[in-house]
Amino acid sequence: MDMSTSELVDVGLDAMSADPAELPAAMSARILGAAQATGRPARHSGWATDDGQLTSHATFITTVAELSQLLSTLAPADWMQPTEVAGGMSVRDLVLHLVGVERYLLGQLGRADTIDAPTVEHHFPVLHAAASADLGGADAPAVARAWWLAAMDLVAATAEIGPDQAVTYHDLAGSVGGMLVIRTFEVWTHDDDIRRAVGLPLNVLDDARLSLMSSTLMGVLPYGLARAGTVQAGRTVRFDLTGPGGGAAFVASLSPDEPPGDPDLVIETSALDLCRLASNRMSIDDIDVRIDGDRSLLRPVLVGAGAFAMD
Amino acid sequence: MSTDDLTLAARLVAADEGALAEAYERYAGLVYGLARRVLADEAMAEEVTQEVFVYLWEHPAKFDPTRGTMRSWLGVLAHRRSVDRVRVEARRSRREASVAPVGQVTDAQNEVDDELSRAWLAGCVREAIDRLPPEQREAVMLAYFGNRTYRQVATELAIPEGTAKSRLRLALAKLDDLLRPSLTDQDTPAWT
Repeated sequence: MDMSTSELVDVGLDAMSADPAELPAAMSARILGAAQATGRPARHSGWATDDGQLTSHATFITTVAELSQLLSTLAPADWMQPTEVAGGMSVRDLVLHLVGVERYLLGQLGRADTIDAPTVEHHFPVLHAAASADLGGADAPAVARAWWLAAMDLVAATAEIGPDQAVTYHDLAGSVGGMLVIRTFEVWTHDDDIRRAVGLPLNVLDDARLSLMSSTLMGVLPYGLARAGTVQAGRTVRFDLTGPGGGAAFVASLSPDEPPGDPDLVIETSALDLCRLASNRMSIDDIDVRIDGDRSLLRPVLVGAGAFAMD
Repeated sequence: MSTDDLTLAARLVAADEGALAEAYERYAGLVYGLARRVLADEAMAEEVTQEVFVYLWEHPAKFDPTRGTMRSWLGVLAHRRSVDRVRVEARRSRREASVAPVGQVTDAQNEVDDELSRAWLAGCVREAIDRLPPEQREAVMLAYFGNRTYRQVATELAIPEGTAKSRLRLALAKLDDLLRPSLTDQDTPAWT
């Protein structure tokens, strides 16, 4: 039986750990108090929720952690596998691209040098080039480490800035909170891209994240139709979302300039599939829907739902 | 590397105070236990535990998940700081006895080389495991290196589950004894 360094270290640390019952009384309070007294800037109050509801900051953190965990399991050959992104970009290059995205957004938040990428067409070439400048020849572990550090820089910056500050992501103008939903979509999507490339099961997100992501998507659906050029003036859709993260209904106008009315079309579909459609990883023809009402609205609505995907 | 650890690390980076409390819950036993073994002094062990967790709070981005677990990183920090204290105490004793001139502990001395430290500890543990009684070694090998649960260890060794637990508990206690001389030796440069 092989004994790896990590396993041996774990045994040693287990052997030396004190039983929690042996810890001095009140040590916990003293230590947490000492940490608070260091004067480290607190997380922005806008990220606190009274009801414990998930924030987009928390969803981003969890999704980054999952991708980082996945990367830690990849064998050297896995990093060279082609993905289905940008004409067969390798796993390594896809992670390199993510480094570029985090750096770009840090620049947009004023926390790093600005990277000029005004439209979504710049998303892959410019951001990939921005990361390649110093990491072009880096090996896979170095790329993984660079991505983790860049993602942590973004986590720290957004924690301090709060959810409401305006930020522009290419030609999408919104808030930091909204931007982190988009980033959650992207990191999750690329996590799945890597899983496909190396033959692992896809990452089915937990209900809370799927719920936050799908409800956010429903909130911006009229703008998605406007972005895609499929606005349907005077019409309304209702989505009944099912499966993990589902169980809720959303009514949306099919034009950003109008309030919703009575639904002209009801679409029942899974929250997970809708999120995959929004990420451009499921086609309109493949999504399983049950509809009631004006069938002609289905395609414009689904095209609009996918209008925020970066690739 | 577990997703839980990575999420915890990121929450610490985000200045989430709940994450520090969670880190304490998870790792205070390790940090305090290790410090107490090196220092043989509960008050100093508590001070080292505080130093380690305050450092974690102030510098969470120093944790590098591509190089090891948070557990082993905190273990390294706890041991280094404990040995530093032992050295300072030893120097003070020498100075008071006017035995030798005393130099300051330099930054270079304080630098942690995680990989060397881990390799050193792994070597110590490997030697200690070899010195365990055969039935305890067998249980440890299955549980830690074969990723078996208590129940699976019991099944494979054809012993009751309680006996499997007891063998593992005794093995860890024995390992603790066997590792102690190495850990308290202030001249263990790889670990420090």
